[in-house]
Amino acid sequence: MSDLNFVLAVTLITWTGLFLYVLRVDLKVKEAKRREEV
Amino acid sequence: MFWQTVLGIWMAAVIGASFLLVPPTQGLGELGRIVIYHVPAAWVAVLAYLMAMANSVAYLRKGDLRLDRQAQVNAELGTVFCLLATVTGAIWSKAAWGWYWNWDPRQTSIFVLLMIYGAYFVLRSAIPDTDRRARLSAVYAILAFLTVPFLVFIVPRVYATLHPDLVLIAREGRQLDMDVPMLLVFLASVAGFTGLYFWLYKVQTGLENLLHKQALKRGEEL
Repeated sequence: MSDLNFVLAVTLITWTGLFLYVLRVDLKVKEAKRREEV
Repeated sequence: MFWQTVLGIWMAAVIGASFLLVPPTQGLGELGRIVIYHVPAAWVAVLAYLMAMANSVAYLRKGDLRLDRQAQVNAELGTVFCLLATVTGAIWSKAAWGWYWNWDPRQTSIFVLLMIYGAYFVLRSAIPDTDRRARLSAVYAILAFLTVPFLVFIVPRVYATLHPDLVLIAREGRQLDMDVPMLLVFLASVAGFTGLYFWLYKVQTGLENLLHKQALKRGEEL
């Protein structure tokens, strides 16, 4: 693997990881708001 | 929504600039670009752990459970960013040293740090009583943060390490030894990660407060 591939891997892992974390928080917020409305 | 959009555009620009503007680093070549994500992630981890300690001190002084929830959110965010710093560092390690993990003092100290904050969450989940959990975890968070300067700044400098911060942040006189385009993209990334931390902190604390309110309505302890 060339050095740029490692840089690309770091970029993808960082943003995929952060995206999944934000998605998890967002789902929890939506679930809490749904329960609040019920 | 406005600030989230600005943050999204800002970080997209940082990603683009890290490939288009940042030149290969002396001694590290293309791998030097990894610093654009790795160091800001580590910085936010330290910031979040510091905030967790500040919240814990404030909780012990005031006894307000909102501060306990803020400390928990900060510890969680710190651990997420610490994990990112560990994984990005391991990829760099594979590229530069040939192994993802070789127990270099930097890797060992960040591993110990993750274990220490992992134990914080185990402690929280093991105590059902809200006040007792808040009090004990506040004391633990303060003690845990005392290890952060030691593990992040002292251990890697006392023991011989291959970690390349001396190459990237070595000072010549009063100036950082970093190319101007790289320094600008690096600082933009630090600002973006810090903004991301504050946004996530705001959303997470709002969520924890809402969950607490709902639990109180149901007559449960949370």
